[in-house]
Amino acid sequence: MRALAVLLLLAAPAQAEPVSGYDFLMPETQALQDDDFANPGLLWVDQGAALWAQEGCTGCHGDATGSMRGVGAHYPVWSDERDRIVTIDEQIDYCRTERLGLDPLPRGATDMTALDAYVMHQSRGLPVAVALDRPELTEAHARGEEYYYTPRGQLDLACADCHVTNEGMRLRGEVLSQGQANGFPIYRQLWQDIGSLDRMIRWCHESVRAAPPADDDPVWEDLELYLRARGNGLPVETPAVRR
Amino acid sequence: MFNTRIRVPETAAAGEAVEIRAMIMHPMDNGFTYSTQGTLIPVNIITDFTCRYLGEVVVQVRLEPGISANPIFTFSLRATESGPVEFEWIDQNGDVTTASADLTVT
Amino acid sequence: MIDRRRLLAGAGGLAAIAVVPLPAAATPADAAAAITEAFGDDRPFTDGPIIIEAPALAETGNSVPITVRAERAMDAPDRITRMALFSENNPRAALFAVSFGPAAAEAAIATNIRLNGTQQIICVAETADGTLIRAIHEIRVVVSACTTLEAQF
Repeated sequence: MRALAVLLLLAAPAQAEPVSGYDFLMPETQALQDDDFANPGLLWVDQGAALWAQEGCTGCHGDATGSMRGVGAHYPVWSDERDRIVTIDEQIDYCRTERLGLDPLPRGATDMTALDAYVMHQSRGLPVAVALDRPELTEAHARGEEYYYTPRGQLDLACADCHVTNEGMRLRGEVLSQGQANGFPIYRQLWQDIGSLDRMIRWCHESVRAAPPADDDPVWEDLELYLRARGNGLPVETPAVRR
Repeated sequence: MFNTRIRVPETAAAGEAVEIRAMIMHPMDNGFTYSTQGTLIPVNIITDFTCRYLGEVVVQVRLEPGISANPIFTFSLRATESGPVEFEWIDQNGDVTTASADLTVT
Repeated sequence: MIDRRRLLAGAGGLAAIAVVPLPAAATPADAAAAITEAFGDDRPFTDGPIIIEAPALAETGNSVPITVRAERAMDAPDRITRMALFSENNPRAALFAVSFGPAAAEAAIATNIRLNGTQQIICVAETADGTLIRAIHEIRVVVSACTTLEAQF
């Protein structure tokens, strides 16, 4: 299996320059994302701001517009304290449960996504800068990459089959993007709702008729690390608007 | 009460046409979609939106399931004197969400 | 490597797998019936200064930005008091209806609508003196890559 994945990697075209999903949108959708009032994702950013104050995040971090500026752009990171890779959602929930004594939020909960959107929004415009500066991170990155290039599901498609090999080609009326993660959580027109990277990965699995990994599978962190690092240098766009 | 976003300029000249924007967080379920468990999600929509300025109606909208989720409306009112711009949304259960902002006319 | 032909075959496979029933679409006759319900059938439609602004090609039918606007003063005796928008191809023809009160600066409103594919939409406006004005606008809607999943995922 691993040998096959290595072969696939060798056969893959050289990684193109990262291009944001924004550049694959039509002008009306780009205008909606750029609209500081009408971007629907801002409804959840507002909700996140209210939660930030209500739940007591201000106790340690004060005003998020200053303290959280640039923080989200670096996630996922290695945590010495927890001896594991931590995504932005996991860090937020860790703060909530360990420091504030709150109940953990279930994966994909609206409040979780709202806090995620609020924190990531503080880094809007700054370049994604995920560090791969220790063995734990480079190894996880390699595992995430392997997952990305491995075909799965009834349609037997790998993430890369759409988002690397056929990037820029049309699938029906739609132009396939690189599948970059620099705008998450995104407001997705198809969902008519906001969604974290976690939700998008589940949706992509469903689209190729594959079962997503179990909730506690560490490949979630590996894949998120790979996806975010893949967009290093792109501006954070949270909340991005996508099709 | 649902989360809302409203935009009313702080000041306007008398006689000026002022752009107003209002948005509400709501799924506007149209009754044709399914949950991941395969069950039909019933219709759940905002049915009415009204904006008043100085107590008088600016616009009154009847919404149908053909309006996108998180409905947003952009329209304009004629500024005459300082006073409140009030917004009211009513969902299909009769629950009311309100918001307001003051417009100062110079 | 997977080529585009195979991707398209896969997308077609998705369409075949989707087993949930699709809602029946409205027809132009349904739209006409909805217009009659809203405005009666005893008045002819006239042409008038109603403008429908929408993208000629919408990226997704889930949210199409649209503005309906009447270029007529709000203090005119034949000012626009009410406008309603109808779809010829959605499961339900009525999209929304708006009344303009005395505080409105102009008979114009912008919002986002859902469109079940490429179709004509119809705006009917009623004036203060009781005449009806009709405007028709065609919007093409892009068929997306993976939207055959009916479930909200």
